[in-house]
Amino acid sequence: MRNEVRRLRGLQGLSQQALGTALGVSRQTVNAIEQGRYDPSLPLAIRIARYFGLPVEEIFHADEA
Amino acid sequence: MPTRPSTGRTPTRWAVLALTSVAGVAMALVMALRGDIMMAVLLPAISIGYGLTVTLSASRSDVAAQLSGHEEDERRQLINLRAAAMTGNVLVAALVCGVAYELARDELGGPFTVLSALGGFTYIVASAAYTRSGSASL
Repeated sequence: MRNEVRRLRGLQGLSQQALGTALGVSRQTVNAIEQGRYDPSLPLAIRIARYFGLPVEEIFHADEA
Repeated sequence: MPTRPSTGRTPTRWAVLALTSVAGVAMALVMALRGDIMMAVLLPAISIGYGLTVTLSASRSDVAAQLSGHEEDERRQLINLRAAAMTGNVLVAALVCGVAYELARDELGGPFTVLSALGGFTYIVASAAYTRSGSASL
């Protein structure tokens, strides 16, 4: 699933480790989300959205069939 | 699957290292009592070395994190579930082969048969339990 996590993280000057700590996940998980290799659970997606102050739909883009 | 924020380093972080250290010392004692000095040195070295490696590299490697029991991350929990399922499937295949072997030798009721029955019963109970509990408690 395409997402804006890397861009948003860059705008705030955060490292993957720092973002992971803020969200309660590992650096590797942040990396996997940014690369689209892992789709976060609903609770985690909501936490990410709240962290960046944006709606979930503006951060995660479901692949269109 | 619920996501519980990590609280950073926890006491359980050292559990695998502690366990492998205790196992290493136990193996050393057993081997020393048997008079096998080489194994008394080698086995604990392997055991403690394994514990140190996975514990100290857990922050850098997902695999090491899995082996050291660091599953506080939802993604790692999912990886662990999938790896456990794959391991279970491989073991089931081995058990089926074992039961076939026992059947061919007219030895049904042997270890492979018992383990297969235990596995089947466990799967049924676990499926029923998780069906009732729902996904929130996974």
